[in-house]
Parts: sequence; structure tokens; C-alpha cells
Amino acid sequence: MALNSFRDGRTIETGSELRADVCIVGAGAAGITIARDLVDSGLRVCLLEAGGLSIDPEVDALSVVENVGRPYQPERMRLRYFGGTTNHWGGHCVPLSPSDMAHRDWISESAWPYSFEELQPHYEAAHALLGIGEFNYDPQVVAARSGVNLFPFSGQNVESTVSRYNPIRFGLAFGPKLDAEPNLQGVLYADLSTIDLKHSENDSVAMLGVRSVARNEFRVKARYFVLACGGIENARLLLSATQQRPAGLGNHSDLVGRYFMEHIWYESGYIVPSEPLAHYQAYLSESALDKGRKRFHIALTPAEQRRLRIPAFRAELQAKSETFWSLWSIRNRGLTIHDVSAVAGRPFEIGHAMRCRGSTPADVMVLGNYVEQAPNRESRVTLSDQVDPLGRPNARLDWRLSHLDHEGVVKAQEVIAREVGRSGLGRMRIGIRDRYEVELEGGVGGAHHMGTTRMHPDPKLGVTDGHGRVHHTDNLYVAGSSLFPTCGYANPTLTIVATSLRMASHIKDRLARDSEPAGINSI
Amino acid sequence: MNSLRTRQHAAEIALLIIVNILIAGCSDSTQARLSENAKRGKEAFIAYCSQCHQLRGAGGSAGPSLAGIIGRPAGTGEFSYSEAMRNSGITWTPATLDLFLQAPRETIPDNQMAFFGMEDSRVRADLIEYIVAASGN
Repeated sequence: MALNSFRDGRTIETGSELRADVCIVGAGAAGITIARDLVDSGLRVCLLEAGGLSIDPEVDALSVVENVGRPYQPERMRLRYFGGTTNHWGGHCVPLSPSDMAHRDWISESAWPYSFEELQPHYEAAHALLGIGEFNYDPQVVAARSGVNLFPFSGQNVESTVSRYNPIRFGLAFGPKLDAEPNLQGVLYADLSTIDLKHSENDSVAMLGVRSVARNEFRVKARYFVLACGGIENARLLLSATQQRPAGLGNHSDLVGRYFMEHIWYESGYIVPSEPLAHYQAYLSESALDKGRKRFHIALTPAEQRRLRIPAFRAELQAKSETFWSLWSIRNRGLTIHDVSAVAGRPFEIGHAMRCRGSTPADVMVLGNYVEQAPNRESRVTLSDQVDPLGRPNARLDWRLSHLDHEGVVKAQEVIAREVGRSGLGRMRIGIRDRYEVELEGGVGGAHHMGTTRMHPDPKLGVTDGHGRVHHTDNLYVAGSSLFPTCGYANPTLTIVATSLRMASHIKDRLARDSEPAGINSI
Repeated sequence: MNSLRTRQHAAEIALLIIVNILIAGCSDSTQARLSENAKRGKEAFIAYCSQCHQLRGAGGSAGPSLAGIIGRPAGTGEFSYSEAMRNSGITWTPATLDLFLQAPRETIPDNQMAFFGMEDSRVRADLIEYIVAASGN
């Protein structure tokens, strides 16, 4: 793919100035969604992307993350080039549930500023954009259409869920059309340097200073500005915008970077079904649905989450061999007598599995939990003491979990184990302890960076309002999963696209009402 | 009854110790010195593959472990593979890996790997050389 109308930020003459109605920083899922939507309405858009068309170590060196909390490898999760992390996206689409977005009195700092019903039209539009068929996540309906065998759960405490899959690289899928748009000016290799406020009583962004690895500098003037650089970078950019606001932009309440949330992957046990594994293949791997794919999972119902007072819980089922998983849990979780018994009864299988090639046949369904992390004020992105080659502080990540996150997984296992037995599905072995020193030790993240510029109508409780506008600024917005006050178990991309469409709609409304340049309050 | 329990307990402890020793010796073989090509391949592995794959030990949520991958039939291993992968009839060698990594979705249609392909044949060659060196064969 070539983007012939896009400029190379490294070759733009220092002191140049670009102008647009809206300047979007970051060409990932959020930035590209908003750019597409705005140019369709005839607005002039400038789309800045720090990288080029593929991985570039020089670009990556401008955004290294120092990790100081739980074991985590941010460098494996971020892609700093056109299309962003959609370039390694698995295509997993599922919406938040209404209860994820509502106030939950057992989860502190929960509640989105708007309801699921308000977001639903944008979810439907996101479906069209992503090519994943109708907005229907009713597992019974999808299963009936496809002749799939569902688990015989009652659905009162444990239910099956269905996800839709269509991995697309936003850069390749939408780049050519953006390239052809006369109203869109794309700039690659353009790294945000400064956010310059007008000298007036309103915090109004006048322009952005932009730099590149070639050490040139130029400016972009616009009426509205959108930061869409990902959950870690959005926080870093606001925190390091200290020229006029010493605490950082939007950081009036010390909330920028706080409440960093991931989805935690943690294998906690397995189900031995009465039927052969192949009977439930729809849970174990993806299969066709419309023009994409589907896969079934299991989750605790919202009523059960409420009853147990735990975060949202979902488990993927993975076909594995009981022997191998027992060996793995002996090694990684510490010895338990049950594991050893499971292993000791099969001496020949041990020998085979020991060679670590793992081609023992799969006979159980391991629960790979992909759960919601409760909002945690101390889990946060701050600025590092280290600076990048052009002098901006790097981001520092301190990812933390809480006792509630661990206990949620423990309690969910017990509920699932009882339902597995009661429903006749089979039997279950639980592989998580309720006594622990480190919450969900060994649990890894799903590469979802959420919550660091959380929405709340009250500036004391949020960085952004319900439209993603940074509090105490007139025309600066943030887009993407950094907005999420809570994250449910839902993989974020579909919600990123939906909230970005909602923001684009809002910005179009504002621009239509504006009869004067930005800087005058027109809400 | 007591002495039976004591013997059982002792036997279980002995078994624990033996199993632990055997498992400890199972993974982490020392890595051979890498050629220049393989060192570049390692950079590519970190950039493109490491989000989902490991080269030794057990796999994770998003992708199977590639320990011992060379010579292994596709779709056999500790992972919830798609039917397409399991039925592909492919055995992984440097040649078949090269085909697959160039265009995964064309080589094995409907497989689940979230990777779109690597066009540069030299990068692919370096990456495969690294995988061969580091996957414990």
C-alpha cells in the first residue's frame, strides 16, 4: 500500500504550518475511525501518525515504556505505525454489557457517563464498519443458526457468550480511501511535541507543535484536536504537556494516567466434559459466521456478579491435555497433591509430555479467564525519569491488581464448578488458591490499555467528560480505550470504534453550531 | 491405619520430589550462539511474534508455544487450534514456515493466527533461522 497524498513528517520544513478543522493525533483504531467519519461530512482533517507504514526502531525509540509494577512487556503490545495495534489485532469483537456501563455499588468508581442504550446505535454502526454482520450477541440465536452444541447451563448464574471475529488492519483497510480524500491531509513520521494553549481565560488549544526523528519542527492549527495514541501514550502526552500547565494538561485532579486497567489472562482450572471434546468445538476454536467468525465462551451473569460482588468474569475454553496442564501447574503454581496424583497415574504419558512438545491428545477444556480488573487508583501511568532521544520523558507503567480481582476469579470458579456438575456437563478441577501473596500471580495482560483518561462528568472525578473532551479545555478531546471508566471483560476494539463514532458525531454537531472560531464556548 | 497413611504420605512426597526434579530439567536448554542472521531474526521475532508465541516452555492464551516446532505436524501441540490448522496436513520445516509466514491466510485458509504476512523474504529467512536455533531442536 502507498499513501501518495500523505506527507512525510521528516521532510516538512521547520516552521511550516498546517491547518484543518480537526487535527487527529494517532492513526489507530480510534484515530482512523474518527478521520473517516469526519471527512465523509466534508470537514478538513489533519491526521498525524508518529510512525510510517511498518515497524521502525527509530520511531519506537521515541516511546519506550519503563515498567515498574507487575511483570509486563509493553513493547510487545504497541505498534507505532499507520493502523496502530490493529496491525496485530486478533479481530475479537464483543460489546460491553449494560451492567458493565451502569453503576455497580460493589465496584468503586464504576459507571460510565452514559448508558449502553445510548451507545448502541454506535455499536451498530461499528458493526457495519468492521464487517461483522448484525449486532446480535445472543448465544442461543447464533448457536441455533449454526447448529452449535451449547453447554447445558441454566443461564441463571453461568451463561454462554458468543464473540464475533474479523481481524482487519485499519491502515490497509481504510488507508487507500483516506489517501484519496482531498479533505484529508495525512502526515506520517509526525510525533506530537507540544500542545499550545491560547493565552486567554479559556483553556483552548491553539495549535500543536510536531516533531520528527529528523529533528525538524512544524505546527498544526485546527479548531478541534483529538489525541488517539493509545492508553499509555495518551496519558504520557497529557502529563508531559507542562509548559503552560505544570501538572500536565487535564491533570487538575491528579487523575491522568491513573486507573490503568488491563484484561487479565489467568488459567484457573479445567472442565472434563461427559461428551467428547469435539462436541463443544464451537467453544474451543473459531468457526465461520457471516463474513467473519465466531467463538463461544462462558461468563458469570450480571446477576451473579452482583450477588458475589465481583468484577465481570469470562472464560475462554482451551483444548489441552490433562497431563500436560497438571505438569504445567505443578511447575508454575507450586505442587499440589491432586496434580501429582493426576500425573502419577499415567507414567507413559508423563514421559511423552516431558519432552515439552506437548503432542499429547487434548482431553479437557482449560478455563482461560479473561476478566475485568476493578478500577484501581494506584495502577497508573506516570512519567519516567528517563527521556526519549528528543527530550520528552518516557512513560512509566505501574500495573496493579487488587484483592477483589483475585477473589473474583476464585469465587467464579466455585460457581462454575457447581454448575458444570449440576447441569451434567461434566466435572471440574479448580487450579487457583484462595490464599495468595500476589494477586493472580503469573496472570498476564491481554494487551488492552484502558482507563488512563477516564470519563466522568465531574472534573474532580474524571479527566474527560462524556464526549471525551478534556475537562477545563474547550477543544481538546481524547479518544480510545483510555476513556473507559470500567472495562468489563469485553475486548475493547469494538467499543473503541463505537465511542469514536459517538465522538465524531459530537464534533460534527459542534462544528455545525459554531459560527465563530474555536476558543469561544459554544456548547 | 496410621502406618498405611504414613507410607502413603512418604510415597507421595517421594513422587513430588521425583516429578519436580524431572520437570525442572525439562525446559530452559542453553541457547546456542546465534549467527548474525539469527540475531536479526530475533529482533523480528520480538517485533512480530512475541505478543502471542514463546519459543520454549508452555504456550499462553493467544498462541501456541513454538518449542520443538521444527518437524512437528501443524496443529498438534498444547493449544486450541482451529480445524483448518489441525487438518492442514503440513509439517513445519523452514520451507513450509517460509510459505506460511509470507501469507498465512492464503496458505491455510480460515486459520486463527492473527498475523497478516511478512513480505520481505530476507526478514522471513532471518526469522526462520532464529526460530530453528531457539526453539530447542
